[in-house]
This record gives sequence, structure tokens and C-alpha cells, in this order.
Amino acid sequence: MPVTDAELLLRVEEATVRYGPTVALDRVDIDLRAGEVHAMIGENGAGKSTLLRLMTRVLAPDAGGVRLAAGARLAWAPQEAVLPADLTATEWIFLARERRGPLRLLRREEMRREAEAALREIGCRAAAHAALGSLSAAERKQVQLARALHGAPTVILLDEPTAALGKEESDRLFELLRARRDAGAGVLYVTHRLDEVRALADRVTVLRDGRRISTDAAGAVDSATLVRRMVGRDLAPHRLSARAAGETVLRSEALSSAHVEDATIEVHRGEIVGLAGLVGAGRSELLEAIAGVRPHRAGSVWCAAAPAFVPEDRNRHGLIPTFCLRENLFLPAEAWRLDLGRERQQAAQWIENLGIRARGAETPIGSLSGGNQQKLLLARALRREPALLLLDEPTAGVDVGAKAEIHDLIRRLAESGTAILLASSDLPELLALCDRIIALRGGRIAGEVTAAEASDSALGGLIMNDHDAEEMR
Amino acid sequence: MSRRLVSGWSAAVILLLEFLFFTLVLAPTHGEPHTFANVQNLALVLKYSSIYGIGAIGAAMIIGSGGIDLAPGAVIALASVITGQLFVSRGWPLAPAVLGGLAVGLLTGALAAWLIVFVRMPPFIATLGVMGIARGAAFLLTEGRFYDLSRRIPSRTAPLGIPLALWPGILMIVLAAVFQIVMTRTALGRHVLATGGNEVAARYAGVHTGRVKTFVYIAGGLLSALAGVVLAVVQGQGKADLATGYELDIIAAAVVGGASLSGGRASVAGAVIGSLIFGVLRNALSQIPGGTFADRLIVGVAVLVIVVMDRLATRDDGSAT
Repeated sequence: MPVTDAELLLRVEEATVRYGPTVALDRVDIDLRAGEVHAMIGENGAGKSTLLRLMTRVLAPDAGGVRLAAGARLAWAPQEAVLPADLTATEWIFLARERRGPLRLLRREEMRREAEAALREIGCRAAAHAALGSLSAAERKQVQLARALHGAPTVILLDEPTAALGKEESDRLFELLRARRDAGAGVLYVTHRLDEVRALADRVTVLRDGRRISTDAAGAVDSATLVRRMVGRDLAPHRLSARAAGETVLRSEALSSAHVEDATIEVHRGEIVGLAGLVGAGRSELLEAIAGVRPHRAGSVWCAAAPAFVPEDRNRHGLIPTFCLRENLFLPAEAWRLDLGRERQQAAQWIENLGIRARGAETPIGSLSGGNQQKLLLARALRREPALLLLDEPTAGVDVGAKAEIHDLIRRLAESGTAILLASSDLPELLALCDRIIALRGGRIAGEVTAAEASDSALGGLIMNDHDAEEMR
Repeated sequence: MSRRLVSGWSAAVILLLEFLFFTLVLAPTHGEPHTFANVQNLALVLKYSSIYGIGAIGAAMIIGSGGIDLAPGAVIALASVITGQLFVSRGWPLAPAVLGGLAVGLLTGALAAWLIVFVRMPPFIATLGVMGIARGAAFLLTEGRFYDLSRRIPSRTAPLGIPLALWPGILMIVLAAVFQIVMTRTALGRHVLATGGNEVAARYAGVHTGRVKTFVYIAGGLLSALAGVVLAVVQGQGKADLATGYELDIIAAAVVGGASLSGGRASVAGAVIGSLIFGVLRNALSQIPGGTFADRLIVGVAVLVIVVMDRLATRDDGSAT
């Protein structure tokens, strides 16, 4: 469908997407022009990935529409992709667009040469005939990007492209993107990282709770404003420091396990302590070592009482898919004999207290939404009235309504004296909830900021720098 | 528990329908006594089904824990051989000989548990190995001969006042009741199903999955051994080639009774009813000319149909399989 403005490559008009009762996108307008890099930022659950899925037509909107300029070629590099280990980089770059010769046979040598050139252009040193399984995470990401950029697409959609890349590779990518932009392509760049917005973007759009909050020229708005618009609420009033001086509930000394080195931390009654860090920094591993799920090889950890742990991956590590809500809640069972009547009663109470939306305690766990499943896992942990609660990405993949409720719950728990150690990749979430935030980098503690001195850039500076890039590979 | 098409209840319905079907089909024409629907024949069905049924109790728990057991047939045979040897060759009294037979189950179950929990072998491979070891041991001990227990057991024996022929059925029913309660009303039962549903999540939640798995394989071993002892005492023979292939019928009985091979779901009562379903089938077919040849075919088809129907129904439900 031709677009009226000759400069416009892609336009999303009043797009609305609903997943059942949840509104993932609410009348969002966004457009992409030729010759620009348009950054899209927002919290987890703001609707960024849903919007990208709309643009690539993987998903159809419930209202509104997407228009692509006539003749525009669209390429997309998704955030997470599990690449088949046995395919080569060449095969992946040319997948579904192979070059064929007479008799429809593949032109292998030609493809390999082109793939090689594409990889060098993006700064990847891997050989084009290397199997994907033999490449590092950063190299695989680069192959993914090479595939997206190959063939000179006019519309380039990138979702967190530098998540696995070090500084050198990121800079190279930016050079490449600038070149493409100058040649007339439009780049839609989804990211968490405000420094990248500064470095690369011409325009920046903020999404929050499924709505477009603002679109500005990148130079016209400062980072603090962007963060405020992303988070959307005043950071919770700083709690009295007297609470932070409560008795110690957790102490670890030089704790080391797989991916964690020499972690020494302390958490007190009523404190909410955040663990920040990039992918691979060791947040989950540290929580697992404290929880006792993972053995530690050096150092020690002491807890006033057995901590309750809510793991990151609720499907793989949290829920029993064959159990109903009540059975998932009462795991492990307390006494050797089950009292089903009492379980039903208490389950009903937990459902009410936490606002879990389900048809009842006997519903199969698979029919609950992600947010409600997460609340159930929280209820399982809270059943034991723990002195220390370990949370790993408690609002990942959770709809915005449930996310707010979970945040409230966390605050209420802290106020009643529970100590909480919270790992999250969502910086605004950490800034909104925590008394202090410990930054992890490459498995080590890189520093700590208190709520008063925390800002997105201060925290960002701690969790990533040049050395980090090397360690991540 | 989520609603499922195949469960203990559906197995009971199938059994009832099957019974009615054969009562009708095998009804005699000339006012002769019913060859199928009479107390003696049904008692026979119960007696023979119990060997499978006792084993199916163990299979239901093992499958519920996410595992599988291929050893029951071999353990039944070995237990019958050991009981026979102790009772006949060494002249032990019956009770200690029975305990000796049960010890076989304890050992094979412990071996399977060790291989699966400590060495971390897949249950299929581990129990395949145990099956070979048990069967091989039985052959080595008997060298192709068999132990004839019936000579030393008077035909009118009635331990505790109950005729010998009724013991298999009674044991099966009592054990089914006990283990059904364990699986549905105790923490252990819930932990077994949690381990089968998602072992990692169960462990993260605080379930001792190693202990749970050790329990089910040892219980399974003991139950198989008990089936073997019962077979030896009631049939009167301790032979190395007994019960060949029984493990598949035992697993089929558990599945028809509601066990899901992907773990996390099982019904002990259903498994026992499943063994009765196949027992009735075998019995009825033997009364139809040429019927016994169709036995394996019908069992195979029945299992496929039941499981496929269950999968389809569960998917519509929207809940996890």
C-alpha cells in the first residue's frame, strides 16, 4: 500500500493489540522515515516487542493498521533467537533466500563469498563456513545482524541488537547503521540503553503500558526525562533509613560458585536490595547460590532462616504443569499427611490476598496468565513467611497491571519486615523499588548505589564498561 | 488435578462396559450356565490379573515420577525362582522363603534407584539393564530347570484362614488401597507427581527428588517381587522364563488407568482397573474360538485409541498436557 508521504517507509496507525483482557498496545501511532534511526525505548511489558511483531506482520492488530511503503524491503533481527547449531553462518544468512543456479542447485561458493563479506562488514571475525553452534554468543548475534542487513533492506527493525555484543562490535554496528541510514534506509532500534540512544538515534519514542508517551528529536530531550517517561511515576518516597538499620538477615562472605566470584553482601530486615547487571553478569547464579540450589565452591553464606526463592524462569524452574493452582501452591507439602480441605480454604485466601485472577483453586496452572502464574509462585514462597525473599526477575513477561500489583506487594512485604533481594534487568523497576542496588559485572560486585544517589546513568555506568564487554564473551 | 479424559474413573467405566459387552456376547444359547459371567470364572480373572495389577501399582508410581520401569517381568521371574529355591531346594519354611523372594525386589529396586539417582542414567536404560541382570540371574540359578513348589504346598492351604487362590486378589486390592492413599493423601504422593511434572521446578521448590525417585523404584521392585512370589506360591512354579513381556502389559495397564508417560500424572486405582480390563479381555477372548490370537492386537489397538483420545481431549481443554 503506498504511503502518502514519500519520505515515510513504515507507518503504524492507531494500533491496538489485546491478549484477552490485557491491552498490550493501546492506539499506538509510530512511523519510520527514510534516512533516520528511530529509537524505541520502554520498560519490560511496555509493548515494544508486540509492536515489532505487528510491523513484521507476525501478529495482526485488533484495531488500527500497519502500512509499508511500496517497494520497501523489511528486515528484522529479533532479540532472542535460538539458532540451529548445525547450520553454517552462510546457510543462516541465506536461509529462505538461497542463490540458485541451473537445475535449482545451490550456488554455494557464491553465497559463501557474499556471507564472508557481510560478516567482515559487521566486524565479525568468524568464518562464513563455521557452524553456528561453534560460535560465541556475540558472534551468533552478529550473524543474526548480518542476515538482517544483507540485501540492502530499506526498513531495518532491530530488537536489542547490542545485548550480546561488546563495545567494539557495538561501535562497528553503529557505523554500519549510520551508513545505511545515510543511504536512505530507515532503522527502528529498540533498546534499553539510553547511551545508545544518545549515540545513534535521530528520533526517540517512549512506550509505556502499551501507549506511545512521546516522540522527540533525540537531541531535544535529556536522559532523566526519558527515564521519567519510561517509568511513569514518581519513584517511591525514600523509606526511612532506620529500616535499613534493621538486623542482618543475610550475609555472604566471598561467595563463589559457577559464574560468581567473591560476592560479599549483606541484607537487613525490611530492606529491598536490588541486584543489577547485564545478561551473564551472574545475578541469577548469585541468588541460586544464596538459595542453596546451586552449590558454592568457596566462601560462605549465612541466612537467619531458610530463604524463599522465586526463580527467573517460571515455566522451567517454577511451575508444575500437571498440577492445578492449589497443588502448585502447596509444594512442598508441609505435613506428611495432606489436608485437602484446609488447602482449599487457604488457597482461596491467597487468591484473594494477591489478586490472582483464576477460575478457582482447582484450575490447571496452564490456564493462568503469566502475571497470575508469577503471583502464584510468590504466594508459594510467601506461604513459608520467610525472613528473606529472593526474587529473580519477578515481573518478566508480566502484564503491566499485574506488574504494578507485584510491586505493591513487594513494598508491603518490606514494610512488614521481610528482607528482599531482587535481581532484575529492568533498571526502572530497580530504581522504583529498592533501598539500594548492588551492581554485578562479570560475576563480581562492581559497586553499590543507594536509592538517594541512584540514577539510570549512575547505575548504567557501574554495570557496564569496556572491560565488561570482554568478560561477556 | 486438571480434568482429563483418561483417568481412574474412565478406566472404571471402560471395565464396566467391557464386562457388560462380554456378558452379552458370550451369553450361552441354551440355558447353560454362563461361561464368562460366573463367580468361578471371575475369581480366576481376578487371580490372574493380580499378578499384573500388583506390578501396575508400582508402574503407576514410577511413571508418575517421570520415569519408566522395564524390569518387572524379569523381577517377577527371579523372585519366583528365589522363593522356589529357598522353599524347595533348601527346605526353608514358607514365610522366610517369601521374605527371600521379596528381598529380590528390594535389591533390584535399589540397584535401579542407584543407577538413576546417583549415576544419573535415564530410567529406560537403567531398568533395561536391571531387567537383563535379573533375568540372567534367574536363568543361571535354574540352569533351565524349574522349582516345583506345589509339591510342598498342600492344595487346601489357607494362610490366615483365607484360601490360597484368593490371596493374589486380596493382596492386589489391599495394596492398591494403601498406595492410592499414599499417592493422593500424603506429601510423598504429591512430591512423586511434582517430580514427574517438572523435576527441576520440584527441586527448586524444596522437594527431595532423589529420595522420591529412590522410593518409587524400590517400591516398584518390591511390588514386582511380591507378584513373583505370589505367582510362585499360587501357581506352584518358580521358573526363569516366567512373566516374559509382562512389563509392557503392566505399563499399558498403568497408562489406560491414567498415567501419562511424560510424567506428573498417574492413578494407582486406575492402573489396577487397567490390569483388570486386560485380564477380562484375555479371559473372554480365550472363550472365543481363535480369540487368543487377537489378544495382543486388541490390547495394542486399545492402548493407542485410549491414549490418542486423551491427548486430543486434553489439548482442547487448553491446559498443559
